Amino acid sequence: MIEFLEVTKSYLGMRPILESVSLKIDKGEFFYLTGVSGAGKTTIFKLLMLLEHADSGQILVDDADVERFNAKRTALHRRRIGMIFQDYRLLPKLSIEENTALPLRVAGYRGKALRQKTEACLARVGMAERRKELVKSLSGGEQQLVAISRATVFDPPVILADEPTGNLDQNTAYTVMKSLREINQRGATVIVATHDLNLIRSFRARTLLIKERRIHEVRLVKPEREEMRA
Amino acid sequence: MLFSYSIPRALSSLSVNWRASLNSMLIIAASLSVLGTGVLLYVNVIHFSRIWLSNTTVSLFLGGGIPAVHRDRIVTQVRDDPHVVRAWLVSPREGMEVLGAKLGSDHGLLAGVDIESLPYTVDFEVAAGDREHIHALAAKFIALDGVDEVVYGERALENVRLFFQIAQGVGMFFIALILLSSFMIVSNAIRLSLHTRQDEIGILAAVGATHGVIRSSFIIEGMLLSFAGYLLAIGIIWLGFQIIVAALSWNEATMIVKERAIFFSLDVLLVSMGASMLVGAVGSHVSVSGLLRRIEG
Repeated sequence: MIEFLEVTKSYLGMRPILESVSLKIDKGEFFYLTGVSGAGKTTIFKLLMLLEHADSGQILVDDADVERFNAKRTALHRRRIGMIFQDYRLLPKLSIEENTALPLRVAGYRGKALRQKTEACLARVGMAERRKELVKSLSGGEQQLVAISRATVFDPPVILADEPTGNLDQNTAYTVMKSLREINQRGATVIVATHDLNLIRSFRARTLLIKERRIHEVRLVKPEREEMRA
Repeated sequence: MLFSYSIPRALSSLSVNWRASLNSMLIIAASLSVLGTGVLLYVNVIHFSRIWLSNTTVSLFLGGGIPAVHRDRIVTQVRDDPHVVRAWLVSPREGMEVLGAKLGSDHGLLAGVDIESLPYTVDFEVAAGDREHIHALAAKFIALDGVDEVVYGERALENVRLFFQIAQGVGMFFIALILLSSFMIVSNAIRLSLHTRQDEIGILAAVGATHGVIRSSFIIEGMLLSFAGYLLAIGIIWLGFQIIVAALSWNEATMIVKERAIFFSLDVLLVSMGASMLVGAVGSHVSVSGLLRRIEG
């Protein structure tokens, strides 16, 4: 379980981007985090990944205060969270297989265990046959599938997807969302940050809106009108 | 982790980013070539100073009319001194021949000299480690019956000794200075190559790599770059040394330099190789740590 307790975050002493935000995420949930660009969606992910630190408040993962983690524990914490980025964040000069295997290699996996896990993840996103191809030769959608296979290589209990369909056409976006749904059905908590309301309507789920530095739960009723409650 | 990630990643990164790697390696090689040439010059200056000091010959000028038996006794007394390596008697004729050879084309200046009026000399050499005893030996042998004068280039000896001391101090200072600047150049070359790969460091951190794992691949890469740069630099210096030494045939003095100039010994080469790899490792460590601090906020 993930909990944000009265978390405030600002950059370079400016007005906070998040102010006293409290949030509770149960195991196995699938939900959207939405809001305009710059609302703080990515900041929530960065705080959770410890790529940024809160000015005040607490972030608890399974009751442990992540802000207190040392460097070693931070690295282990990140292996329990698979992160998918809008710009994929792959190493373009490496192959599909090498990119997927990267988290395993840095964790010390070698030989058969490394190959088996990598192949299984690539097979899940339909890229196993093309594993030797360089990432830079792939389309955006294919790169996102590689990013998903890399994010799931440890079978993490939490997946954070930051605008995962932002650069993709509708069909590819559908494939990516389907993959994320499957990951959720296998038991992982999946949080998708997006400002694409069409996507939210297509794959209905709990939706949280970040507006004016705070989080609000919204219920989608009709395409044109969203109910908002604090 | 070293075999599962760090070493394979360092090797693949060097080959995949071969242009940036080659660029960094050439910068390192150029800076080490300058450093190495300076050090080689310094080593040879010290080497030749030592040779000059160790070759100091002392001449005892004997009085006129001394019988041959007395002359031989003086030679024996000089030879018996533990600081003397060898001693020999030089007749006036031999002395003239040596002097004529030294004057070369000006030997005609000696045409009017009366050989019979010249004295016999007893020349001797001291061991390299016993140079400081020359003054004492001079004082001891001037007291011998039949010895009129002792000549050993006291001023030249003192000058060389002073130069030797200054060269050691100044040389060490400049070597330290060049080492420091070389460290800056090498670590900047590595930093430049790292800046093109900032994203990679961010990705590694995001997928759960510990700082140690992230650093290790870059440190290995820095060490390999420094090693390659070092080998190239040594090759350049060796080639330059061979070309310059081969060209030193103008006169007697340059022939001596040609015959006795030295290159780095194996010990020095091994130690400097280790030092350059250490510089590469430390440079990488400093650069990656800085980037990690920025990425981790």
